[in-house]
Amino acid sequence: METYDVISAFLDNEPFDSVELARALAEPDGRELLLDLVALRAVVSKADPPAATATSPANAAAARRTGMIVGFLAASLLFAAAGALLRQPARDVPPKPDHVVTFDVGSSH
Amino acid sequence: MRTMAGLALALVLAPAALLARQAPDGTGWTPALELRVVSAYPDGARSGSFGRWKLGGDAAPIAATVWSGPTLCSIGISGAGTAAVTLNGGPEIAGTRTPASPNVWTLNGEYVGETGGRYAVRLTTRFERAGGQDANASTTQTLALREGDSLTLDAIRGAVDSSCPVHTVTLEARLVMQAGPALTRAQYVADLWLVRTNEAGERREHLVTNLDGLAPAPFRFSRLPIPVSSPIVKEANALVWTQMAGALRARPQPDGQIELDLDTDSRVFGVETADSTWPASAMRRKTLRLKADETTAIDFPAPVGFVSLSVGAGVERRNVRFYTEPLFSGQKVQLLIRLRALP
Repeated sequence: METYDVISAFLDNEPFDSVELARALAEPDGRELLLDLVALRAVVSKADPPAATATSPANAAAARRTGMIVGFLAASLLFAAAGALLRQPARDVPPKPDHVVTFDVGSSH
Repeated sequence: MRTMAGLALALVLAPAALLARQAPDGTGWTPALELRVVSAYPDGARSGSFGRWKLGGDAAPIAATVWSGPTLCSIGISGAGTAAVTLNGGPEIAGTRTPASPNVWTLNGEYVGETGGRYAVRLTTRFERAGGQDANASTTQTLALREGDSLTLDAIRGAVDSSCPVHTVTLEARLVMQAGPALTRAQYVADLWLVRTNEAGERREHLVTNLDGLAPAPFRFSRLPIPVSSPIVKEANALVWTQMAGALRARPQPDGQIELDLDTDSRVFGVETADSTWPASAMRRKTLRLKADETTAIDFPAPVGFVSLSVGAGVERRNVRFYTEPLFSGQKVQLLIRLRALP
């Protein structure tokens, strides 16, 4: 699984590894991706309203419970991510380099 | 859903990078040789005329003639690719060359080729007249210039009188790179991190600067002293430090990559005494090819050499040659660069 696929899997209600999710959210890029995906889903859900269907009272109660759980989880994660962002000066921490070169004059990378 | 979300996110996050890749004319950067005729006034130098020739392909041959009028305040230039302009308070343009022109200088040249970012041109310069006398001294030289390099080819001298304060006019060659607006108008935010590591730990500094395709952007990190226990260095009262200063020059490419010139002062590691600073200041350049949103780390190895330190006092004062390896042992300097494209 790619580093940040676990965030997408979590938001899509697919199986995910909680340790891997914690590791992904510990990185600034991971938290940024989470916020972007949440915002993206908000836009998509507004643009695509659910079709009207006949729903029994029991199904409606179950859907409310699921919604509350997902909402609680998302709020907890956002709170944790915001706390982590406040704790560390993220911009002073350089990202992991994609390339490492030596300053030897006359050559190109 | 996950794939669609990822695709949508990529479209949301990368519009600037996509814009930077679009080059309407489909061409990249072209080297050009510039001839500048610079008049030295008592309050500074002013460039009054210039020539510019593209290098390579079916470009016009390099050819120009520069002449002066009765004084050096009157300068003329002719030849394909040349232009005469008068800046505010600049030298008057001498309309036509006459047999009486006291100074006549010619330039002819051809493009040889490019190696490692240096563009070679073979130039022949000649004074036909100098100081009112016929002359026929020519010089042929091959220059290998990088973007921004400039050198003086010749100088015309004249007497200063009450009507003209110009004593010297220099003729300078300069290598410039040209591109279409799609590339020169591309803008980036450059994040620079300097990470200096030694036995005491790691120290990080972060700078942010803007870049475009038109001109270099300077940067400077703080100077960080290096504690030294050597008795000789202490006796010489020498300061040992690391510092990083220089400039970034971005040339966006039609394929979306960015060619980045990193110019740094050679004194990344330095030793300063009351008499001198080691090493001598000189700009060094490394050209990188990178993509937006990628991070490139550049390691700066400690220099190898020796510095001359004055120790003792009075008649016992003497110079000691001190090798620099022990001073910088364990010091690691790394510069990380990431460019983000702006829409």
